[in-house]
Amino acid sequence: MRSIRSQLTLALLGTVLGLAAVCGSGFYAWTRHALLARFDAALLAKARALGALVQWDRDHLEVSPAEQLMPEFGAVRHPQYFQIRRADGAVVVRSPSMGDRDLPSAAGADETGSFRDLTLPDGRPGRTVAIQFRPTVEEEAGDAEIHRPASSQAGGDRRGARLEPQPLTLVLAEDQSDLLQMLRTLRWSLIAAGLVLAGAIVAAVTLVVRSGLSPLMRLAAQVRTIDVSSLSTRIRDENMSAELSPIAQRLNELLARLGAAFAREKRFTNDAAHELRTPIAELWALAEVGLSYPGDPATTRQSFEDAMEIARQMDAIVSTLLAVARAEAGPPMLAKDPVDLVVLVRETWHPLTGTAAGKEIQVDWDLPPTAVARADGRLLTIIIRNLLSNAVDHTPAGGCLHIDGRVNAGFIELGVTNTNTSLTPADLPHLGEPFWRKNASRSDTHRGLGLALALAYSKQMGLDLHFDLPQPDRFRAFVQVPFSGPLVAPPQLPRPIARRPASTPSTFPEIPRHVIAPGSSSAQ
Amino acid sequence: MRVLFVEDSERLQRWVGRGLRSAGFTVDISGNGSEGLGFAQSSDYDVIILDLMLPGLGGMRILERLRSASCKAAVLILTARDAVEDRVRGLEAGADDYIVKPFAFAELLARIRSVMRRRHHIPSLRVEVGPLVIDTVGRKVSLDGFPVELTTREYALLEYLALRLDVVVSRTEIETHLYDASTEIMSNVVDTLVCALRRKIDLPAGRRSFIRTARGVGYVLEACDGAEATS
Repeated sequence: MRSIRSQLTLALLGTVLGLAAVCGSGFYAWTRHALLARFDAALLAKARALGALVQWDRDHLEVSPAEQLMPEFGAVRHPQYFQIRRADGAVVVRSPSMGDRDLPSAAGADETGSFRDLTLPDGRPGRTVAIQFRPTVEEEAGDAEIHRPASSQAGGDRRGARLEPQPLTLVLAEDQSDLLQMLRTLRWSLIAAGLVLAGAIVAAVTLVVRSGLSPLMRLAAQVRTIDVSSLSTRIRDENMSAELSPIAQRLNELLARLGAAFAREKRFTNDAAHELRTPIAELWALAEVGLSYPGDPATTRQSFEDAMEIARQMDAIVSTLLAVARAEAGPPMLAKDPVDLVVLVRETWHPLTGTAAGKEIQVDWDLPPTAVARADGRLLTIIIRNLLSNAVDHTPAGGCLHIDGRVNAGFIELGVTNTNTSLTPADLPHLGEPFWRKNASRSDTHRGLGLALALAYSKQMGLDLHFDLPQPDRFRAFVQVPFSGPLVAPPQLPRPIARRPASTPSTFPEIPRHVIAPGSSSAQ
Repeated sequence: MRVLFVEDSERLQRWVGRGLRSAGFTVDISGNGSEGLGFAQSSDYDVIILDLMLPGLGGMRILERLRSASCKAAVLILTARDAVEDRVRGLEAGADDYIVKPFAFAELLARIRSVMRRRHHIPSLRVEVGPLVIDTVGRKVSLDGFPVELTTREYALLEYLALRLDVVVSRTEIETHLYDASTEIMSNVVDTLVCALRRKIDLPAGRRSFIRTARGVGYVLEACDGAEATS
């Protein structure tokens, strides 16, 4: 796996070193070009000056003594060279330093000059310029000593010659070893400086990248230490860069959610195991004791009855868990029927009237005459049945139960409030978790699945179901169902009298239950 | 031996209680933590089988209160909680053993007997008092190699005296350990039971009686050969 640091380091090094190399090469090329241009310009100027010394005197060429004006052409040590040719290639004049040697011909030379490198007759590296020029016409010879041009066969013949004026080609060769040496020195200096610079760049880039990525590395080191067993760890985001701070915050939020999910999963597993272990232990004990110590027929019958009851309870647990799982996982296949919530609440309440009356629960009703929702009636019935049965079961004897409903902003809001004796605000997040119960013992018949199922179905239907404690001694379950509008012919049902005790359930209509919840246990 | 079973599952109360009684134990049952603690504090139990998740008062709280009150009963935790930290917490709080539900009833019996042997420092599964041999596992008694048929209550008395070998046990203590709280006890029930037991385990006239009467106090099962004759 390639690291960001190595990739960034390599990319930066490649870029910076490449740029440095390009800049160095460019600088060298520009300098070389400039020096050569200056050298060539000087060479050309000298050639033109030399050409100016050649004069056409009536019918022959007169060449001023160049070795006097320009002694370098006659020097013994490191001389320069020139040679003048006619258009037919015949040598007219050559410098004394040439002896009887010739410079390479310069075919195609013009007045602007043609340059080329060559090795000088004495072996030094040199450069030539060849220019074409026309000698100036001299009507009378001056005081200067006249050099007569040499014929094409003879060198150094100074007799005048009757020649027609014609363009001549001057080839001037000069030593460029100093220039080349300077360029070599420059090149190696640049290479040496480039190597030093490259080292410095490598070190600097490495340090800068390491320093720049250190917050990321610290973040990675912190993240690396987190595993399933340390989900409570939080990433410290003090002194963290602005770019990484949102990542740290989101990671911390994710860790919190993961931790909560893991804790919930662990609780569920423990609770499920616990809920199944106890009936298994009961089954095992009754079977083993029955086999070891056979009893009378009444005892045997009792054992079978207990076994059947255990089987029913385990079936209810498994069925409800499956219903919760399907509601949480499966795509909803929901009916959209008009459901009168008021009728549904009364219908669902009916089987609970006996229990409520037995506990002398004071029941208050505050429902509109009708409130039609468009929802899946079967699931809605299960939700309401669990809310109501939860409230009845957990309201202490002589407590209060308040059922209210109203239409508000396109929703039917149904609330079930009952006397609370045990729940605290810290318990509210656990409501709806499968098997969660305030009292973990089996002193009651609850399994902690009723509200879980109600919550799962609410989510599946897109309903807003939540729980709160409006007062310390009041627990309220509240659900919002989309309002569908009044029915054309609302059912004529007697409205319960407000604050009527549950001991007089006969005021409620006898509506047959059409949906049975898989589990009616709850979590309070 | 007298056992207190504190468990909130009614069916476990019913069947484990029945099994324990059938196995010769005297059993009191409570389904509530507070009530169970009251039972444990008011009576002298040999073994307390304690669930952890109880209404009223949790099993751990009961255990802590019993141990802080120097209760000598062996406590056996019987719970669905199987986490290592739960077991460690229970044992370190003073439990003598820890059983996770579901459990085999035979294992529960074996563990009860095991903790009782440890309590009374009896390393062997057999208690020998001269020619009298008591097999605490098979709940069998033999005399000179011949089996002796005892009722459940007679065996319980003999085993209890055997566990307290050479120690005088009062009538009240015997009553407490042999009869549960719901049994109405006649004043001479222990004497009658001892008498019945003696008839079955004492050798013919001229030989010693294993159970000596400590007058005005109670009874003692003696291992020494020079014990006095039956009272």
